[in-house]
Amino acid sequence: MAHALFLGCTVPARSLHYELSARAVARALEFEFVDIADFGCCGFPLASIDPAAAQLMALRNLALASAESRGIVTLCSACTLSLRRAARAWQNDASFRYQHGDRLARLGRKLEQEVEVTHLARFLYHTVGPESIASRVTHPLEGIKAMVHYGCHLVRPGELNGSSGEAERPGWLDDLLCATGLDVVGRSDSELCCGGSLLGIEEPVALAMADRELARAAGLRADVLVSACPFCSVMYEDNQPRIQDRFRRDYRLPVLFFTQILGLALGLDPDALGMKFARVPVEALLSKTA
Amino acid sequence: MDEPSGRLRVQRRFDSRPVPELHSSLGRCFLCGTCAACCPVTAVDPRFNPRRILQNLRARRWGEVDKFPSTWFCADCLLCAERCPQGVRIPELIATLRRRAFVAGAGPAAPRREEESLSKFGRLYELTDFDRRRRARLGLPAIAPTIDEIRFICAVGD
Repeated sequence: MAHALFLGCTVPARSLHYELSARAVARALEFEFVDIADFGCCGFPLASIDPAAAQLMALRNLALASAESRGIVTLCSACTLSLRRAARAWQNDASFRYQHGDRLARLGRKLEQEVEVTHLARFLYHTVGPESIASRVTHPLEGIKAMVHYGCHLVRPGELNGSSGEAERPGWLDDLLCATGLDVVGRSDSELCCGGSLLGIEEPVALAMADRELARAAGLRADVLVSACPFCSVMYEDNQPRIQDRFRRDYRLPVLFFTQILGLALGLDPDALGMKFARVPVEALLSKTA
Repeated sequence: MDEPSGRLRVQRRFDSRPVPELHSSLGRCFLCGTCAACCPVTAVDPRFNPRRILQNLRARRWGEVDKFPSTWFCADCLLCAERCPQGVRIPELIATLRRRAFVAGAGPAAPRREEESLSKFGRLYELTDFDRRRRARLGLPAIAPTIDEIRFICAVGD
């Protein structure tokens, strides 16, 4: 049964290249994803200021998928956390079900089956795997140095994703991308946060946080920074000019989603992968891949 | 309250009035500073320091907790919770304090703007006609521009 693709709020508004490349890669790997038009915000933005509303928003999305007996595949890491947390609480915590069951019913929704929620990157790693990707690569990305930014909500809390060890030393996305022939640098140094949550609250602090990771990538002479979350991309790519101005840097570092990287290696058309939406020029990078 | 084995017993009961909903794990904190040491925000701006927040909470200096930037510079990265040797639920404590401030009308404008957008559209960013046409042009499936149920959720509160 095909999974439902959960776009969240940020992807349709600011990261169409992620959505385009995700769908293109899914097609190339012969996955079918289904769209549920009524999916709405996952609740993450309200998590600290109105947790009950946030949880209900998450449960609503789970109920929509559950009604079709489908699992959910997410694009945004924050959505992944919000939905997984709600699914886990619903499954394991009777008082949580008691608290929210009525309110869910008042929306005309039910959550009767367990809904598996998986970030697309994990989904591809577990369902396809590096070896299978490697066998389908037609345009190996050799000679290109890539640094993966896992970000925070993709790997934490460790216990929501299997283990604390994994949260501290993930390597699976590096492995998945190595299958494309990329030279992956800065492996498993996954502590740095893009600062995305703070962009609207205290921009200088958010930019300083993003700057640290950009500096790390520059120090390792990365040709591309790989992102798995639209908000990380907003920080590293959309805000790269502001960061360069503020901290007097010269990064000019392309930031691509892992789906765009996979797509290039699978020989997909750069247009189909949303390369036109790149805010930091990717021509030099693309010419290396040709 | 649960106390995982192997953890240091610091104080069985922590009187968290006037904020009784503070997570009970606060009682386990012995101010080791691991949270501050790994906090990516503290690393770039010492005005925010999770250890200082915990110290003020444990010393019941509520006024100090509320002083700028209070909890608002927390980036929700969850690294402190991952690293805390005592299993103190720092993100939950921060969320409780934020909620309290928000309900009292304090705190920054951004969360309020987000809540307004969610109340209006059911999403963080309005999906304009331009966005919808662009999706259609790119062959992407349509998305509901306004989701009434979410407007209802936000309007109801808790």
